[in-house]
Amino acid sequence: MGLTASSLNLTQYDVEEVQEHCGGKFNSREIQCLYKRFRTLDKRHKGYISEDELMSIPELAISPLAPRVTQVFQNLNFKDFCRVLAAMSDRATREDKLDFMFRVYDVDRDGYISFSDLETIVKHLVGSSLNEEQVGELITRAMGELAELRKKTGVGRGGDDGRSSPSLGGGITFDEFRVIMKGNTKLPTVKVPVGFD
Amino acid sequence: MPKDSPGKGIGEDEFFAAESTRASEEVERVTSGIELEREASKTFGSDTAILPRLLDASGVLQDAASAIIDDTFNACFAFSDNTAWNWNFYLFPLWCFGVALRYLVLFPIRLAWIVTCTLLFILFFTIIHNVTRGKLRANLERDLVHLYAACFVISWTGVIKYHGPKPTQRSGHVYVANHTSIIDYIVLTQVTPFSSIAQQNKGWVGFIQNTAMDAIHCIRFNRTESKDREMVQRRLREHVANPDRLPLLIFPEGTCVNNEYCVMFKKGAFDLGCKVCPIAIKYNKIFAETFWHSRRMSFTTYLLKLMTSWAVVADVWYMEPQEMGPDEDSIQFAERVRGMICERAGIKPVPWDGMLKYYRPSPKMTEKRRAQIASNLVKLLPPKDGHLD
Repeated sequence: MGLTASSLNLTQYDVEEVQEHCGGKFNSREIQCLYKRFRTLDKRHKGYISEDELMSIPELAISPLAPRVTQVFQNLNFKDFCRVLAAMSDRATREDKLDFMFRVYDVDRDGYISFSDLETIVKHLVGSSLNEEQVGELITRAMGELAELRKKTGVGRGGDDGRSSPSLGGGITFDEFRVIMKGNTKLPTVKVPVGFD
Repeated sequence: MPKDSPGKGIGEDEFFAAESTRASEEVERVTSGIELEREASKTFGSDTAILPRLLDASGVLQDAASAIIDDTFNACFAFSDNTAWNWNFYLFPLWCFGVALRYLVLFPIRLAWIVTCTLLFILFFTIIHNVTRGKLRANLERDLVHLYAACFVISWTGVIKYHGPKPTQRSGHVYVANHTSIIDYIVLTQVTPFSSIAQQNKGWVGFIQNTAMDAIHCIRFNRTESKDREMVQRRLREHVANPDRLPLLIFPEGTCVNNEYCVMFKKGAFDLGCKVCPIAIKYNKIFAETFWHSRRMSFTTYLLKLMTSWAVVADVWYMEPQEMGPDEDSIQFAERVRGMICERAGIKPVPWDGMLKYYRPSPKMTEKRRAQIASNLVKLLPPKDGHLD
């Protein structure tokens, strides 16, 4: 395959390969545009984008979730970079988007959004605007709601080894996450600026 | 004509934090995800479930991902990509002929011209500097710099249209312009000699700074020296107040931008309590890329690039002097003047400080967004006294 760090232009073959890798969520022009962007960000043409290079984008650096987002995107090769971004293309399904969000929230990558994951995320989101106590209360209440949900629907028990206590137990599974997010209709969507040429 | 240098001095952080607070309001323009959050909180209405709200950072994630795909800050320092037009059997010979003409005919002539001019400049400058005294010396030196700038413009076949009344020498005025390269200064000086404020450069540019530019009272500073900042402010005020000095030209962006965008204006030039005359400069990049990326190429390489191009085509607009409004502070004033320049030159204003090339954005900019999220979440918590859990 021609996707070495030094290749300047993608061949049709390369584009198709990337397209396949990200499930056809981007068309070939979008992939070419992303490739150009990838090469701009990857300043020394290493073949991946480092955390430092990501954080040098001020618009990203000021994001409350910047530390998490950079962790998800750093050190990916171009194919995987596209695959992660594909979750937010307008051709992506709701499921893809939820999966991406779940991966961002699952800080320790154990397949559950655990108590500590949730705490980390909420702290990133609110910063110093809420005190320790308020953050604690938000999370305690959220866990209460989770317990309610588990009683009502019984989802998540299977993957949880029966540890689902009123606390988060092993954490929120993806199935539970999907149920919780049922009411959220606006999920992240991004457009690749392909230009008019 | 500031040159970029990745220096970091003491006190730079506080300085930077103060400068960036004003940008945070504008940042809202680039964080469209805030809109998403507002809509989300509307659709939830009276629903007080906390979990779905905690787990929904769609707006934040959307902004972050959009920034990865495209961002306006890096766009400020990107070279324009001219699509190749020469790969065509009847255009290609024509293009080859053009290359030969530019490199083998135009370039040697131009190089000979600018070398001769430089030698003559040094010769006359030395004579004037050592023989004459006082007001006469100042005038002659100014005229010499004026001529030398014109020589430079000729060396890249500058085709520059000037619109509006020519600036004149008088006190109480400061000129501000958008900044693409050192040649901005040369292009403006060939019409009216200006004093300017610049980062101390090295090499032959530094040499010219130390001799000729000093003679016309240009202010030099070192970005890495934090105490220089006060000295510069003081000297700027003195300069503007003195009617014998040349008009002062400041590039408030503080760094070279590619002439498609305009980064934040530093407020220093707008704090002097005098009238500000905006100058808009727009280069036509058909014949030459005029953006100088000071980290990627030396000024010499840059000049050689210009001298092997067909021509430098530009428009310069001198605009009406502006005064700070009664209910404006220097920051708002700077913003207003920047708006005028951007509109005139047809370039896009972005909310970023050009210094973000060297520093990470201040955490204050993040905190504002966080406060917004927090205020949405805290509404979900019941009032303290009614809470019985």
